[in-house]
Amino acid sequence: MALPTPGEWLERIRALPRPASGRLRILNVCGGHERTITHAGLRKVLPDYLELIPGPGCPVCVCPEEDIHAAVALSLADDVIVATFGDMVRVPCNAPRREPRSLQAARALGGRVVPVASPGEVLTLARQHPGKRVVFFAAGFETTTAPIAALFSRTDLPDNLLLLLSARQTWPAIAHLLADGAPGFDALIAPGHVATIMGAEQWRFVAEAHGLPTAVAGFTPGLILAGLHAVLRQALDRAPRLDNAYPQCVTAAGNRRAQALMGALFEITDAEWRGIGPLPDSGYGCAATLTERDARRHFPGVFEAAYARRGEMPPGCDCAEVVLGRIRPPQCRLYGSACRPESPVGPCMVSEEGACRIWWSHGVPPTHEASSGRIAATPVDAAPGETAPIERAPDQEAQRWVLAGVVQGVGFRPFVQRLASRLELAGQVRNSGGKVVIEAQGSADRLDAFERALLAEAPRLARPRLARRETIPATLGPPDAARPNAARPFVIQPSDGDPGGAIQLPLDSPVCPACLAEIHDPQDRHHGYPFTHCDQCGPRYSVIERLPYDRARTSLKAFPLCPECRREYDDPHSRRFHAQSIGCPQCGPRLEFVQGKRTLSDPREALEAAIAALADGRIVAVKGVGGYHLMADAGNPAALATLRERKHRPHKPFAVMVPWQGEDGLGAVRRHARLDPAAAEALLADERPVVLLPLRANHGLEAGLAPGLDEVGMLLPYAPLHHLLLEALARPLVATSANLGGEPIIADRAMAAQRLGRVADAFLHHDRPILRPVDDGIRRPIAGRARPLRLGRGAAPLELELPWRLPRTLLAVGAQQKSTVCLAWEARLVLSPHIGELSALRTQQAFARQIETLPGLYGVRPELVLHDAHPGYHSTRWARDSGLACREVAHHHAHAAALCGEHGRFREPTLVFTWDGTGLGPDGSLWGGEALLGRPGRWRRHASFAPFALPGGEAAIREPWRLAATQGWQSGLEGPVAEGTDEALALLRAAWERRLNAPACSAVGRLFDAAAALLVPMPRVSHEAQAAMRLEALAKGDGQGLELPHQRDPDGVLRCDWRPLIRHLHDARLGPERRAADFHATLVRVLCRQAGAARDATGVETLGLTGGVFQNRRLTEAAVAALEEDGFRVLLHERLPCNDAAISVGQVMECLARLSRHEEE
Amino acid sequence: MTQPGPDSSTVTLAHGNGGRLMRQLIDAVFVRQLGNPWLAPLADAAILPPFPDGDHELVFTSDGVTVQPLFFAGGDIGSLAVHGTVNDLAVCGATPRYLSLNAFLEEGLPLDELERIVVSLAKAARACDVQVVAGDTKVLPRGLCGGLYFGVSGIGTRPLGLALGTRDIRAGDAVLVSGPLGDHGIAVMLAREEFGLSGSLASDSASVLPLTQALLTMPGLRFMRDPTRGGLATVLHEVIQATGLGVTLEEPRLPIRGSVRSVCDMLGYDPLYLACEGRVVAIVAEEQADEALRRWQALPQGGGAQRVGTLDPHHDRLLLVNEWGGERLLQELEDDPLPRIC
Repeated sequence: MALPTPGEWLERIRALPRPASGRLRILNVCGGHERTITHAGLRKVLPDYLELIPGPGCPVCVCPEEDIHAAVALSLADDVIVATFGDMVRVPCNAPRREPRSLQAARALGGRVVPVASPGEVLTLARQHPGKRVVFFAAGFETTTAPIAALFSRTDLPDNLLLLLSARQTWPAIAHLLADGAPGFDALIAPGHVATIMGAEQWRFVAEAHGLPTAVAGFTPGLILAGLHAVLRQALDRAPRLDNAYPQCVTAAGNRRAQALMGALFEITDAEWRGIGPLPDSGYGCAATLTERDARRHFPGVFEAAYARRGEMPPGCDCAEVVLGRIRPPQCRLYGSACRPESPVGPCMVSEEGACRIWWSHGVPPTHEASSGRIAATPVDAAPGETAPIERAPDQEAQRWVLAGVVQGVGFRPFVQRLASRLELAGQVRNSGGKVVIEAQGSADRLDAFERALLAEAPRLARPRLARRETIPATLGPPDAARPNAARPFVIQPSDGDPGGAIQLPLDSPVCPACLAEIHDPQDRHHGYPFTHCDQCGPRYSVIERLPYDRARTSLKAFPLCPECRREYDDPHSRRFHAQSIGCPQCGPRLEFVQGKRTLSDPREALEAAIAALADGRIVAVKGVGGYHLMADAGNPAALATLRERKHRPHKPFAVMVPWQGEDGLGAVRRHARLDPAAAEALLADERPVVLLPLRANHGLEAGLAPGLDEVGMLLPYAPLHHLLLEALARPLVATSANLGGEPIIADRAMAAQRLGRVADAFLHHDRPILRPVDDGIRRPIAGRARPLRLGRGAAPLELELPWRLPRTLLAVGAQQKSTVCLAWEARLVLSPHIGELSALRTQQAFARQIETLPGLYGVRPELVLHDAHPGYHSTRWARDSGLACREVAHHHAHAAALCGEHGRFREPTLVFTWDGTGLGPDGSLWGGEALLGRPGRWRRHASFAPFALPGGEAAIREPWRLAATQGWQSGLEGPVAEGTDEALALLRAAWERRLNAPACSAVGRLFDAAAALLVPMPRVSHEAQAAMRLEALAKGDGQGLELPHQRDPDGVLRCDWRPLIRHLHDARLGPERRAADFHATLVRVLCRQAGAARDATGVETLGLTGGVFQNRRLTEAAVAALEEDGFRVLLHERLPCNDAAISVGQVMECLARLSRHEEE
Repeated sequence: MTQPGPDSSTVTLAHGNGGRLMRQLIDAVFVRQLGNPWLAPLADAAILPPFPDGDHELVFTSDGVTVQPLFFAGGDIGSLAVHGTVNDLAVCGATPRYLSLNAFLEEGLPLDELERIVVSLAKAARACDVQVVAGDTKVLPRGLCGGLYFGVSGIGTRPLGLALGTRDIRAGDAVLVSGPLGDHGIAVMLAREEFGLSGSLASDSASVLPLTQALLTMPGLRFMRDPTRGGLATVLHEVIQATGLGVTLEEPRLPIRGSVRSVCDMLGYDPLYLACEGRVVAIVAEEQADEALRRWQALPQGGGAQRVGTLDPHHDRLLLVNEWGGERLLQELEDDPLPRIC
């Protein structure tokens, strides 16, 4: 009997009716099936109610990464040849970029990799190379496993033939899909080739235990259509069974001889599936009889290293979802963009049997939504074996979206609810594991509109990312014909469970215009209320006790909502719907004013008293969002002087909070300062940072705000309380963090009273506890951007995405000053807010608290601690005492790695100038003027400065005149080279000559100190970088740069001889402004000179500037201009401060690069 | 033999050969200065008299004494050898009785320097009322011992039942120092570096016995220590380690001479880490602090005594609080402190 042709099969299928369920989703489990289906265009010609879903059909695609890592490593071993099937050669693994990421790449590096088409070729290979060990890396399903067994059952094999077996059974993968209750398909065509070996009976469980129509099918279009016809018949008959639609080759029991052979040589084991994880009884391992040929036993070290990478997937790769049939190839984020056959990211794009490769080579474009391409899941509540489909309305569809990113604590669920109501969709939304899960039902076009709006119209504070989309059964039934317009519910479900580490923390946000309008509206119940907020504004991070973010887990739990607020909280059309930080005068936090023994507990009286005290020139400690400010009238010189005296802060500039005026709020700022667009944008950003702004000539502010400088840090009011204070006073207020020098910001009432009693005249408290203190951020416009100098409220914790996954959870503890800590796990990095200067006890306590609480928030546990090389840093001592495994990262390597990491440069060489105050170099001397060439994890010191002594160690830094003197002496100058008494100079000279307590250093920051002390009287600095700030402010005009001589030291490091510059600074014929400008211009020429030398030697074209010195706007802008003029690309920090706050990030980046290079362990 | 003959003005290796030269050196220098009935026999061991009663216990200590230079303002290695050992006994509550003295002499040490040192040593021993009852002399080749060093052991007695130590220290106890800090460290350093401005600065090298005896009879005395190497900060770190309590020091109360402070400022040293050789740190019960201070201040060595801090249960660090409430942590001493400011 002649077999029906494909056309005839198609006719037979078309002749059958549509199933009552409306459609039939049919999974295939074989790359051969999928190739035929796609390339023969079966999806287009079949009735649209048949959905054909590619499943786990490709042994290469599911081969775990660790096996590929191992094969790559083996191929590079001296005496090994790796033989493998052709596709396997190109399958990438997520190796660090500098390592070979596939066998093909290994071969390019000299690895011995031979592609083979059959096991027999491997035998030939082994005989040809008796001096090598030939490892047969064999991935395959049962069809391939049988011939492998046949080969290894031979008795004439040479001793040098070994087996790296990565073979899998197919049925456990299907069992896995079925086991979770929502397999996403209604029928199965079982793989014909596998069945020839294992027998059709193997698939009976699908039909009988799970009630899904099942047919074993062959590989031609006709044979596949025969299988599809069979399962469609079963579905129509509601009689799921096992059909053998490939009787030409497949028998019920299969090839018993092959099975016996496999049974003798291999044993069934649990096995890893790439991206899926371990599946029980799904793999083949070498049985005892084959032990001596098992490559895993011959090279235990290689496999141990490879297994350490178990589970690594390239970031963004959705192959696992594709393999499981949960998404279609075009739904993968990388499909067709980062991942193409010529440069595959995931295995599905490599193998001829991979679904992505098949679809791509068939021309399916990215983001293309094939009409039959949506996956559906059977109802979760359907009992196993239940086949009766639920009645669905043909015009109703349902979808589920999973959104990741910043989606919690930002009014996202209420937004979704409102959006769904607008589009008249039924369904639900809930927080789940740090993500938001939305299920909605409605017409297809409305669902599409809904999805578009979900991302496009998301609330201001949200940053949603679509993690997954799937079709689900439309279980709510058609609209009631009698009441077609009746609203069906879309509900907000309670959060489920612990979000684990997936959460993104919501950040504190300034009061929004709508709330501000209510505060100003005498008719509104929020009138004049300083804690008015909605789902778009208010405290977040600072009040979070634990996650997920719900009122009961914040410090607002102490304020039960009044009926009015409760009504708004429950009203989906209100801005306060499920907004956690709301309150009103009836139920919310309250102000209290304390001055001496006088306490005002009436909130309005308290506010008025604070306003009166400030107007009267008093210093008032005002509790805000992340802590207390010390506030005073910025226009009152006596108040400023008192504040400086009491705070023991003679010079350091004070930040000024400027009233919100004019249409854009910046009117008052503009009166005092020159504002470029970047600065304006920064001032208004949600972070509401302090922005350092150049003052206008007639700025009208007190000189005492920033003595000797021509810049003042300004910020706009952000809490409603600030607006109320500034509106009433209508003048700028000093708003400096309330602390004592170097200590963390004070956020607690008792601590404020204890520590600020001698500083503040009065206190304006409120009773909303601050659980996570956080300072105001600081930014400075440099080279076209407002770059962070300190990450604070609204910007921190800062999260960065790593280029690949970390094998372990890292805790980086940063440096000493500007301490931050960094937590990194998987492909995530979270940077803490600014902690402060770690020499103070209270800062150390805050440091300890941050280390204790940050991992808890994210539910991770640090396994490896990264610290600076300096043994005296508190952070280093903490790390070494922590009992955890530690790694040291040199200070300037961390600086350079932070910059490269921020810009994603892990592979390409970069020349990074790391100029700062001092940090301990890998050679044990103090660095700080280093040009490092290389990439994270591998730096070479290209250039530096001639070393000089720091007489008295830290004392030289506190008293820059000492450096001015010793630099003068070192430059050959005699006589009065600096300020200082004769006795002091004599002692200094004696100490300097004897190198007594005078460590060697090459830091540019210290050159700034010396230069500043030469040009401005500066006996003692009272805050960090004071000298450098003065010098920058002093410089006027472009200046003339000197060409400083350079010489290579014995280590080949190009050293700048700075002595001519010091001599130049002594030239009294030039004014100090000019000399200060010359100093800056000279350093720019040093940068150009050192960069040019590096380019001449290595061709490097990309430069980076980092380290605290580059907080200097004049230097950085001139340097960028000059270096770009010279043809270089210049990288600056954009999201991280360039100072030591970035050290913890750099420690992670450095370790990330090293760990993935296997340099450690 | 063409070796140069013994130089009569310096120590030679021949002085260490156990023969005539050695005996002459011992007689001429050590016995003449230190002679006493127990040392006189120059036997292998000293036979000491029995103690008069049974209510005392023996206290025994041993000390190595090295200093460069050998002479400095306020003392020399000879007086230092006696004071160091006597003070170790004294802070344990003991009355020092006997010392042994091992002298390690470097080839080439001028004999007159040796004699000056031993004279000074003998004078200090007399002042402390201790006897050197045993000794030994070795000569080391040139370059091996910086001129001279001593090994000194000491025996003292103290009343039974004294409970001095860190065990009884309580939160709230007061920390007292008996006088200005850092004098010895700065004086020696200036002498070593030949700065030539040591006029106003001298080592505090002295016996602390009167200071310790003054407090011994006082209830509430917990602990005494002489802050030698590593200074006050290091002693207090040991206390913190042992007790788990913190110590909060009040900066304005710390007795530090202006001249010491200014040299420290200039050279970048912290006087709290500099050695003293004639001071006592005492920890006493809060309610006894005033009495202890009064007793010390009544003594010539105790005029500068101060109560400087408190055992603080609120932290476990050494915390220095300045006059306006600013706080600074004093870390344990580094081998080679490097600037941490960036």
